[in-house]
Amino acid sequence: MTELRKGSSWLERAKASNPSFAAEQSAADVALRASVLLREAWHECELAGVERKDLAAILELDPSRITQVLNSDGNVRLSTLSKFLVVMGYELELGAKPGIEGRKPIGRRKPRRTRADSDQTKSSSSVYVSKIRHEGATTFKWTVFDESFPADHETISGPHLVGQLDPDQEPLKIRTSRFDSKTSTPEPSTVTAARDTWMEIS
Amino acid sequence: MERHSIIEGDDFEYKIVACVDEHGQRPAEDALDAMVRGEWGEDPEVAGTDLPNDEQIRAVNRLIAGMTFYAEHGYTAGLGPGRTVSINKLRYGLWEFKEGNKRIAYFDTQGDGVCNPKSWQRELGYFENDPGSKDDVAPLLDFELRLSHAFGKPPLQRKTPEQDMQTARKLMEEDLAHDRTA
Repeated sequence: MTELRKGSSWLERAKASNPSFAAEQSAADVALRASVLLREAWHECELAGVERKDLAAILELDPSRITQVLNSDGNVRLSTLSKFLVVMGYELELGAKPGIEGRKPIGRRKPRRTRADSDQTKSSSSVYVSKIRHEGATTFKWTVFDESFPADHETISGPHLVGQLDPDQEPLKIRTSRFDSKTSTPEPSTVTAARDTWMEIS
Repeated sequence: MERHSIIEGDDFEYKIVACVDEHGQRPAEDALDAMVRGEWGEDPEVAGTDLPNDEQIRAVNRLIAGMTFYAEHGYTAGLGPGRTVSINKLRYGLWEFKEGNKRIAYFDTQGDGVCNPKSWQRELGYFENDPGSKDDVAPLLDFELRLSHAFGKPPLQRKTPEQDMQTARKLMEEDLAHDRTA
């Protein structure tokens, strides 16, 4: 058996070297596939006892127009194709794939967010603060845990729960209480902080 | 001797390949090259017009679309209800793709130097759920479809011109001989 030349086919090379031909060929391919869809859908209708006059009544068209479209070469308006398929019990799907290297896919549904993702986005975070005294200065370490994190101020040695984070804002607005270093009593306040940072309280 | 793929796809039913004559030429591929430019002079539908001819280019787009569909699915888009058959069975194991009066004869082979002629399968049921259908169904051919001879069929003539028939057959024999000597 003789060997086939490696690489793309004649058709692929013809398309690559002649963009105008490639465009016209794509149009011809799509029209042909549209005509196949129309014929196969109509065939299923015939088997189910549907008549052309039934389609004509729904689409408010003359029966001769129904015949014209069903026997066409498929080069019909997109809206016509879609309407005909729907009344015959089918739904048209459209898609496009990259034809040139480097083009990103288009028209694809974005990955659906899971319930867990959604909950995580909406959930608030707890803010803990640890007081550290060093060489006469008092420093506070702010630690932010997501609500789903299995910990609380009782299981974290030292830090005190001082408030909740607003998850929709950046930088993080901490709806919290100002931590009084002397009394260890939270006082109502709002501070801006990045996650897990050291804050110097002057 | 190198064969040229004309149309192929990863999960296609068939691969369409250019036939190679005894001199190493690929007449069908040359004809397709000319058609794509609208410069194929044997086209009866553009007789008397200046070349390149845009209508010939559009027609070859339809022809290639039909060939691609057939290679991909193993049946012609025109078969079935409301069909406009885009392949015909010829003689000697040859078939033809057609678009208007433009014809390209082809045959199928496993690449072993032999073409085993096949016929239409008049099966009950073109579609699985259509037991009453009596449409002709394209038979399962061998994987490689080789294009042998492109020709223009004279208008109003039902039969394939004998000269074109013999040219297509001669090219088939020359092409298969390459396989037998490889």
